[in-house]
Amino acid sequence: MTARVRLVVAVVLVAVFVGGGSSVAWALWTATGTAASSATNGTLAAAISGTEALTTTSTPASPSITRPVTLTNAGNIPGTTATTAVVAEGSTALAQATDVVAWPVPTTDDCTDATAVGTGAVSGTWASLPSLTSSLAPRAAAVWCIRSTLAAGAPASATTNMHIVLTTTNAGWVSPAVWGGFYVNSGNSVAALGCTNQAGNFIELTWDQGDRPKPTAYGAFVDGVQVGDQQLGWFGKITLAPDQVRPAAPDAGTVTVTVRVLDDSGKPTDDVVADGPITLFTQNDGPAIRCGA
Amino acid sequence: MTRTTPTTGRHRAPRRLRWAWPVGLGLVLAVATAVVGSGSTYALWNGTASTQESTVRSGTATLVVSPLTAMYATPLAPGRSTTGSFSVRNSGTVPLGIRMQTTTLHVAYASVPDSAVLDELTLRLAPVGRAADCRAGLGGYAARPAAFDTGSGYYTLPVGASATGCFEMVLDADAPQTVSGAVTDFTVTITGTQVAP
Repeated sequence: MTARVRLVVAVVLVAVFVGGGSSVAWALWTATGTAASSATNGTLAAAISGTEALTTTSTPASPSITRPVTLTNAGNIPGTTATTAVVAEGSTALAQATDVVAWPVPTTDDCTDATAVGTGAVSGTWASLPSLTSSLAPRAAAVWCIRSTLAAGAPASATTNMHIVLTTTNAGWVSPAVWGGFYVNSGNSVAALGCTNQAGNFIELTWDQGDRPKPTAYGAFVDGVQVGDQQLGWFGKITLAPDQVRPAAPDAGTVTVTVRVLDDSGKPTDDVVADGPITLFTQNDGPAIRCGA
Repeated sequence: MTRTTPTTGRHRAPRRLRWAWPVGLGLVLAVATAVVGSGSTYALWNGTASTQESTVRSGTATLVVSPLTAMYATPLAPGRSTTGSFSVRNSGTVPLGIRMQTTTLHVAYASVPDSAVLDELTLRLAPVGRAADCRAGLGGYAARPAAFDTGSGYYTLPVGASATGCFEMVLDADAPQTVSGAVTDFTVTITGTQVAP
């Protein structure tokens, strides 16, 4: 063992004895307390009101209606409203022919027939209305003023059951959908049929086709029963003989004949083009027909 | 006649034993020093004297934690958070190193397993000067609630001092809607350990 090693051994031993013999020591004391609470994940919900008041029957003389619709964020976290207009039932043609403009207003009282269209407006038809979008705090609501206007050439005597479907969204979350419904009706302001007498043997019906395309099919109806043959817009007229009308009107007298647009399968649509009276009578002991009463 | 040459002169001790002396001496010195260091003596003569009466008190370690302000009042949306503040006071007589750790978690009103809810939450802790300064986005220590543990010595609370903490519970921005409506109850245990002198 060298002197250096011995010295190291001696120092280590001194340290061990001095350190081990010391009475210096400490205890580790502890104390505890708690802090408790809870965190709630939010939920999304939506509510819509006021749509029923949009139900109306519009005519060319009174084509517009303006009503407020209230969209509510019924959830407990912020949400952005999103709407879609859906033709639930009835005439899609009427929905397509009804212009719609909507804009946000502070309150329902700020939405009247005389109210000018405000900022933030969206427009389209009931068949293609852009979303009514508002960012809402929890439990808050937005009022949209909706003006529905029957466009020129809209089908008469038609009905459409519309739904405005509402959801609220936040990031990737979407609330359950809710909807408010109403009816869009077009009045019976149907154009008068053109009618030409042919000596009691038959009559010839004509009508204004408006903007309808030439391939559109038309049919004449009495009390819902088709009379005569269907014709395309290219031809533009329907002839009726007494025997063609009798299945729908067996007794002599005046009846109303209505010309409607037919669908691809030949069935009548809600698109009423024109109507007018015709009369079945007896002439030379035989059945005859004429225009008017 | 054979003559034997007498052995004369001093012989050197074997070299291998020469180290024992200094080591032995060192041991003696070490023992003596240790005895002195330990404060005890073994004198043969004793004398006694009395000091004036005095009281010896042991120290205390005491933490006072104020209730955490309600965090449920603000429901969580994706990417949003709710905050709550609390204060801790060292009312003992020794400085304390502070550790905070979630010790109980309970999830209610969930349509998915608890872990699916807890894995979309982050609990943050930030020191603030006063409760009014507690707000979202302060940063600080953060972890999923189930793993929240600052470890010992997160900070040292001197004797008589108070500190205010701000908890923030954050819902992940990409949290699935399946966790909506769930309620998470949590308890954070605050442990103060005497700081070694």
